[in-house]
Order: sequence, then structure tokens, then C-alpha cells
Amino acid sequence: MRIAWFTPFAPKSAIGDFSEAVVAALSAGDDVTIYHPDTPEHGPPRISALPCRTVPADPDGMFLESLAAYDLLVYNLGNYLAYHLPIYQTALRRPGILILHDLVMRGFFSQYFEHRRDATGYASFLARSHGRAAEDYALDLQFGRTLETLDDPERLAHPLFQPALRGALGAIVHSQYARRRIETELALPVRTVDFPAFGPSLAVAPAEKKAPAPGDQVKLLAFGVLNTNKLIRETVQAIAGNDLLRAVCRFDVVGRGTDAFEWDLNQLVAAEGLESVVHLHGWQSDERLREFLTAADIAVNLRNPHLGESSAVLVTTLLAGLPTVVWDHGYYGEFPDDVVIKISAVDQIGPALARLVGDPALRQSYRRTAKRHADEHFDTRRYCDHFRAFAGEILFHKPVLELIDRASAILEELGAIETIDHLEAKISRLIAEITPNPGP
Amino acid sequence: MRVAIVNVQCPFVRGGAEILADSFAQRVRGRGHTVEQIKIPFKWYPVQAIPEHILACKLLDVGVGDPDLVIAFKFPAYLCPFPRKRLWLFHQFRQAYELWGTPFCGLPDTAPMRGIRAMIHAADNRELGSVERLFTNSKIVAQRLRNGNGIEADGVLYPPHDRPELFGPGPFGDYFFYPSRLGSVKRQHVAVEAMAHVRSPFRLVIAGKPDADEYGEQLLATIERLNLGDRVQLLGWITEEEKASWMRGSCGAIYIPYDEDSYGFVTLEAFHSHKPLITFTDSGGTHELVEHGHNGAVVEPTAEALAEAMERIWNDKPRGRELGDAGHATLGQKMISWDTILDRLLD
Amino acid sequence: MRILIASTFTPFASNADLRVADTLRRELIRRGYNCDTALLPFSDRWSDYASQTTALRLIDVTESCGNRIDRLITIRTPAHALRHPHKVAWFLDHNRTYDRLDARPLRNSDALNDRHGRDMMRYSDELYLTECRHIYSGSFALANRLQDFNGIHHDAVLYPPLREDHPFRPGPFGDYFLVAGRTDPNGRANFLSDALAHTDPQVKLVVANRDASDGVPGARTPTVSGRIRYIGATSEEERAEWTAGCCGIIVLVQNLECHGAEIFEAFQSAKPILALGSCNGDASLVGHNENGFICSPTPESLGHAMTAFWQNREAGEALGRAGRACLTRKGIHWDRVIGKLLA
Repeated sequence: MRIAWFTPFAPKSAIGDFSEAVVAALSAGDDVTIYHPDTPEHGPPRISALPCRTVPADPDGMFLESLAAYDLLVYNLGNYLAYHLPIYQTALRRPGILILHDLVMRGFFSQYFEHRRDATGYASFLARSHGRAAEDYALDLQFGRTLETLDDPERLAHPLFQPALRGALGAIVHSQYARRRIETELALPVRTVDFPAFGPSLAVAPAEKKAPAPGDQVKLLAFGVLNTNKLIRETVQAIAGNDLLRAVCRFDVVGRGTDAFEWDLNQLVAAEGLESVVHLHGWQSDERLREFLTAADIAVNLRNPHLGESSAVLVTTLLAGLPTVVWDHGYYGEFPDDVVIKISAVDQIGPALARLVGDPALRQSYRRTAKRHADEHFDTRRYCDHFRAFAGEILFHKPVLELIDRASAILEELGAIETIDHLEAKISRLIAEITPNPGP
Repeated sequence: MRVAIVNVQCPFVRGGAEILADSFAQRVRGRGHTVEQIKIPFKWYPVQAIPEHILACKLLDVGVGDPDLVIAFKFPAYLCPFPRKRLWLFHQFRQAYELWGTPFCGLPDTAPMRGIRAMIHAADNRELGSVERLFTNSKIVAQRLRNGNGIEADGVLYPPHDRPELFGPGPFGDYFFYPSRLGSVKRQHVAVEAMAHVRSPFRLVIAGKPDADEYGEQLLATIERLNLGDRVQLLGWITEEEKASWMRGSCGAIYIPYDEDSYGFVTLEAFHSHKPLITFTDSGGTHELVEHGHNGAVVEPTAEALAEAMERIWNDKPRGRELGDAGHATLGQKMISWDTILDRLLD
Repeated sequence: MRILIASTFTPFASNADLRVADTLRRELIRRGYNCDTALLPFSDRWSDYASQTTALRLIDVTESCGNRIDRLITIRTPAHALRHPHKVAWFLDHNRTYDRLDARPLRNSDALNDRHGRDMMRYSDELYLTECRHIYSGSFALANRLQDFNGIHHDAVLYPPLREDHPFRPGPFGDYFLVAGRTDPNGRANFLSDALAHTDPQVKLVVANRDASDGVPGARTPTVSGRIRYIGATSEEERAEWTAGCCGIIVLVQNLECHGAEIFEAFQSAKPILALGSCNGDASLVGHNENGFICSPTPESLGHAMTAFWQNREAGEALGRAGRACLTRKGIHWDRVIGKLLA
């Protein structure tokens, strides 16, 4: 199969990491070409041995025609306009399989209308997708009557994945939660596939760790973009409120948040006298992150509220064989109880950490089950197998969709009105009569 | 009765199926019925054109003009909806059935093509299963229908010759006759090569135009290479009357195509002329009429086997006449006549 | 060059357009072109228009068995819906449904659907016609309809000539007028016998095509009995004989541009045409006192015209000669038609 794989491919793009891993594996059996944006906002792509081409900033007819050479077009889409706009523009006009990395796409569309200097477009767009309630909120945003924060339930209530998936032949997501949300609102084939093995953990040392010596600090690690829903502040407060944690823990935080957030966090650390416990490292290279992963004893990957995301951080910590504390909802709640440590209230953070910190055997047990689960589920070849099976189903039914599109285009040419001879219903019925049952 | 005959059309191409459909139309008129022929252009490439033409046929109204009966022959024309529809099935879309997965398929084995194949099956299963009457033109086609769609035909209606009255018995001359389009699938080159193994003083006469110029040139080169210039005669294209005359004067006919659907006009021409027919074990449809040792010879597809079969017929002329007469009787036994076809389809 | 002539048709009905399509095919083959026809059934029920047009739109006539089809010539509407990069439409009839739908009173409860249907036909006609490289009309009347209903300007009028080996030829001016087309303008069954009542008693009529009528025509008025001879449907050769021996051709359709082939048969046979109804101005094929005579659509007017021709044979012969000459002058021959269609 000849596949055009559209993806951001900037060096720091997690979706780029994902794509690089999957495409390398797919290329063993298929002919895959990576298409990445070529915009100043995206920046130069990472260096890769994989065949790469660029997606022009405004895909034109000639570019779109050139895609006819491929059997399948795959679009990786996330909530960041700078990395995804040309990909989205192509996907609208040349249907393919869409791998949706972010269920909440509000940021993408809000930036999209800003990019087009359309002051009211976002509000109308929300209304078209989600109705008046969403439009009212958007207007409040637009006129400064409200601010959209990360933990605003509006985001998950009206996520705007529907227009992101418009025209797609099918969608791949990485959590059951995302699949259920999509299936509730769209008649679109959706498949949940576990993440492949990708990211910095691929070169991390194996699960077994030597038993800690007395006096060794128990290392906690949190990393990624420091959004407020990651509960870093709450974790610091939990450490502050627990004597054991204060005494034996070291909490390494890798990544950045807003300046205001970091300032506030630093103030908290100072106020609680935790300067020797909590260490904010900012962004670090992958190599340095691997060192942290290797050294860490426990990972903290709390998200509350979640935004329907599937966490690449969780993939990394589990592949590294780290006991990981998560909030029991969304993607995180889908993992078995012996693979992750689940909490559902802020006041459970301290006790959960203390239990792990105080029990090396417990940590070792989680280490094993986490690593085993990750190796079994986050398997790139397995990902490719699932991907190919789904692609096969989608392509099997593609002729039916193309026939529907063709008939619809003719009806539009005719200006046919349903009441005339109920042609649309008639054609739908006729096409249904020759639509094969699912499965090749 | 108003009879609408619905068929597919490849503009500018006129093959055996089209000739048969026209003959059928003419004979239906001969019975006093009013006939209209509807020929629907069909292009099956690129592959997405297949479902588009399926939908087109399902949307076309073959009931315009209020026919009493619609008769159809081929995919996808037989999908045109009409309550009183009867089929004399010449062809399904073979590439989606028994040719699928073989070197002769000509279609890619990709997921979308498998999807289109499934659409063809769905359309056929639905429509072929609900027609008023369904006959095939050979047992092979009936078997394919059974295997591919689980549908049992109402019977086989063997296509008669277009002009049987031209052909009749005659003396057993000194040549074997092979009249057909020249092409690699018809394997005239094997007949020529067979003559190199023949010791008796008979000749081989081949009539017909080559499908491709290269094949005609190849035949000439083979004749020259094997020094058969005075043993093999190429007539080129001849009229039906000339063909009948040559057949009448032969000692036997040859028809050795590869895996054909039906027995071919050559078989009928030989049997109408009371001549035995030699065919190959892998020729396909000829086996529905030709029975080894009864009305002809069915031999291994080699030049040597063909030569041996010709020698046997040549060296035992009384036996050759017996085989030829039995061949003529076969036509009656299999009810290969237009009357049979019209009775079964129109009544 | 492979040329496909495509037309819609009504099975089991008389399709004059198809005769022209077949003649075009034969004339193209005679000139060495590779030509075939594709005829597709099409109901004139406007409620089925959209589904049938969709079918046409789905059919691919750009190639056949790997060989490119170089030209598509479409005849009867809406064959021009077929897709082809080099498509030429030769309009020999315009969709009468436009008139029917327009004529429905607004208060009719189906009027809204009718309007939608008409709009849909118009919209799609215009869309598909703009895909054509050229659009030709079979007459000025058709060209006017294209302009009025669809806002489309045609490239030229191409009258459909008789086939080149037709049997029509000039002959002596006999004692009868020939009616070879429709015989009942506006459904008046006794129009011809009424007209004969106003003629010289020696004038006779021969009617070649009989419409469905009741009773024996002419029997009502004893003075005309025996002067009208109905010969029923004729072969082309028979009609050519009758035409060659007449003293004039009577054409009864009110709109001359909606005639059949009888006008060209008359021109070929150098016979004058006596026509009813209005001319279409300078676009008319039949010019009053040029190659024919236009009279009011009344039996009296037709009767007087027949008498005038009967009494002045030379005038009739002169008009007949002028009619024959106009075939060349108006380019009513296949060389021109084919030259235009393949341009």
C-alpha cells in the first residue's frame, strides 16, 4: 500500500515522535512517505532517514492532484494550529484516515479564525457545531466577559472534534473515552488503538532496579507542559503536608508552564521550605529526560480535569517501568488498577505517594506490572497490525463512499429537490442495496 | 407483445455476444413481437467506474414505452429494474468471480477493489435472485452462478448458430478446417505445429483474421520454419458462405481455444456439417457438446496429441462420418435451436 | 477518429430524431469515419427526470475497451448530460416539458413542485450545455427556445438533411396535392375535406400518413368524396414516387419549424410548399412566394391556395425550383452538417 502520512515533524513535536516510530515500522511492509508542513510556524523538520515531502502552506490543485498517487492518506491532527493547519486544509479536500491526537480542538479553531482575522468566526463556528449555548459562551469569550481556562468544563462539553473530523473516511484515537465521544456524535468508523512504543523511554534502562539503600531519596518525577490541570501545585502541597514525603522524597519537575505559574510554584516551594525537595528543571533534552526517567522511582501524571487526551507522558512512564500516579478518569482510568495508581480527590495525593514511598516492594510490583503492560500494549508492530486492519476496512468501503459522493455531486449539479422524485432517498436505497457487509 | 432487450455495449466493438443478441432480437420479431434493443455503454475502468455503472443501470428506466417483458444478457445491464425481467445469462463480471486472484483478472487485489467486488456480488445476489426466469448459455456459466452467488438457474439455453441453414453435409475431403479469429487464446499456432507431426497426406486450412497483427506474422513464420507451406493454408477473412463451403468439404474441424465459456460457433458449424470436432481437454465450453469418441475427440493440449487425433480420423473415414453424424444428432439432443430459446424465454 | 452519436429515445414509439441519428451515422461512415450510436431510454415524465439524468451522468462514454472516443454528438435531450471532453449538441427537439410546467396555473396545488421541476431541468440543461464545445439547433424555432428558456445562444442552425442516397427527385406536376406529414392541425379531423370544398372540383388530395381518426374522412361532404385518397403509411420509395408526381406539398403544422422531413422532401423534389400558420420571420424555411405559399390556418384559405396553384402550374414550378435551390443556399446537406459537427 502506498501511504501519504501527514504529520508535524518538528524536533520537539510529540506527534512527530509518534509518527516517526509508526512510519518506520509501517515502512517494513508498505511504501510510506511523510508529509510535513513547511511553514515558518512549524519550523524545519527533524532529521530523519524516512522519505519526507512538504505540505504547502495553502495546498493548491496541483498538490492535491499529486496525492492521487497514494492508496491511502493519513492525517495526524492535534490542537495546535501552527503545526496542523496545512494538514487540516488537505484533509478537508482529500479524505483519508484521521489520527486524532487531541479530542479538544478548540485551540486549533480559535487560532484558525484569528489567523483569518475573522473576529466572529469562532463564535459562529461553535454555534454550528454545538448549538446556541456554545455560541453564547464563545461570544462571552470574544467580548472579554469570560476567560477560557484549561479547567473550564466548557472545553470538554463542546470540544469541536466534529469539524476536525469532517469528511474523514475514518478516525483512529488512542483511548476508549475518545472513541465513545466520537461515536456518540458522528456516524464515522472509529478505532481505538493503543499507542505504539515511542518517545524518550525507548532507550531507558529495564524495569528491575536495585533495592534502595537506607537514606536514599525516593525520587518523584513529573514532566511535560506544566498546565494547571497537572496538579503540580497540589502535589507540592501534598508533599509539604506529609512528614514522610518531606523527609525522604525528591520531586523533580521537568518542563515549563506559564511565567505566572512558575513564579507561583516557586513561591509555594519557598513558603513550605521545600527547596531541597522540589526541583524545577525547565525544559530538558531527551537524553537528560531519560536520565531522570532512569533515576526516578515514582511518576506523577495527574490531570484534572482531563481534556479527552491520550497521554504520551503516561506511555513514557509505563514504558520506563515507573509506578505512575494518575487521576481516575478519562484515558487514565482505562488502565488496570495494578498498572497505575489511581486517585480521585486532591487529598488522596499525599496518602498515595506516601504508600509508594514507604513500600519499596510495592513500588517494585507496580514497576513490573507497568512494564509488562506497556511492553504488551505499547507495541509498534501491534499498532501497525491494527492500523493496517482498520485501513483495510476503510479502503474496502471507500468505493461506496465515493459512489455516494459522486451521486451527491450530481444531485447538486441538478439542483434536485427532495420533494420532486425523492431522488436522494431513492439513490441512498439503491446504494444501500449494493453496499457489502462490514469486513473485507 | 412488446419485448425490450437490454444489453451492454462497448461502442465500436462488436463481439459474439452482440451478434447473438441481435440474432435473438431478429427472431423475436420473427414471432410477431415488437422489439426494442437498449444498449447501455459500459466502461469498467478505472475501477470506480464499475459501481457508477451499476448505479446508472439501477436508475435507468427500461420500462419506458411500457414493454411487456424485458430480457437481458450481461452485467451490468441485467441490473436494470423491471418487474417482468428474464435473463439469458451470457456473462457475469468474470473478473469478480472465477478470474479473481488469477493472472487473467486484470484488476488489482487491493482493499478498495475487494470492496467493489463485494458490491458486484451484492448487486448480483439481489437482482439475479429475483428475476422471473434465469437461463444461462452454458453449464459452465450455470455452475459459476451456483458457486459464486448460490443461485440455481432455471436451465441452460444453448446459443444456436446465427445461420445454420448455410451448413450441411458433404464429402470428406483432404483437409481439417479451423475457422475462427486468430489469436493466442484460440491457439492456431498449436494446430500448425501439430502438422509437423503428421505423416498422412492431409492438410490444415485455417480461416480468420488475426486479433493482433503480430499473431498473424507469428503463424506465417511458424509455417515457414516448419516447412509446412504446402500443408497449411491461411485463408484470411472469408464470408459465411465460403466458410460453410470449406466446412462441408473437410474431413473434420478443429476448435482448441483455452478455457472458453461456451462451445463456440465453430462447434456448431462442424456439427451442422456432420463433421467430427477435435478439441482440447482445457478448452472449456466445447466439452458441453463434444464427447470423446462419440462425436469428436477431446485430447491433451499438445501438438502431438492433436496430430494423433487428426491421423485417427483421417485413417478411418467411416468412423469419422459416424462421429460427424453423431455430432449433428447432438444438436437435436441438446435442443440447440432458436425455437427452444424463444419458447422458454417468451412464453 | 471515433465518433459516438448519443441520443435518448422512447422505446416502442416513433422517434424521428433517431432516424436523423441513424442517417448521420451512415453519412459519417460513408465519409470514412468510425461511428457508432448509443441510444438510451428516457421517459418524458418530468418527475423521473432527475433520476434518469443522474444515470446519464454516471455513464462513461469517453473510452471503449481502451480506445478513446474522440467525439460525442448528442441528439435528443437530455443526452447532452453525458460527460465527454469533446461534446457537441445537435438539438433537434427542445424539451416540451418546459411549456407544460410553465402553463400550469399558480393556484394549482402541484405548481410549486412543477416550478421546482422546471427550474431543475433548466439548471441542469444549462450546466450540461455549457460543457458542449458547440451547440447546434435543427431550426431557428429550436434556437429561439434555447435562448428563451435556457438563455443559451447556439452556434448555428443545422437543418437535418435527407440521406444522400435518398429517392426523392423532381417529376411532372400531376393532378393532386400531397399531404405527407400530420393531417390534423389542432385536432380538426375534417380540415382537409373542408378545404377541398373551397377548391376547383378537379383538385385532388393524397394523404400519405393517416392519423388516428374516426369514420371515413370525406364521407360527411358528398362533394369531396373520391377526391381525397388515403394511402396510409408509406415506404420512403413510395413517398418519393407520390412526391415526384404531385403539384404541391401541403404542410399542416402551425409552426413550420416543427415540421418533419417532408419540407426537405418537397425541396428535393422541386415541389412548392403550401403551409399553414405563421412564418418565423426571416428564419423560416418556407418563404411566402419564394419557395412556397403561406396561408391562414383556415380551410377556406388553404382551399383558395390550392386552386391558385392548380390554375397556375408555372408559378408552382418556379417556386419548386426555388425550393430545390434553397437546399444549397441554406447549406442543407451533409457535408456542411458534418463539417460543423466535427469542427
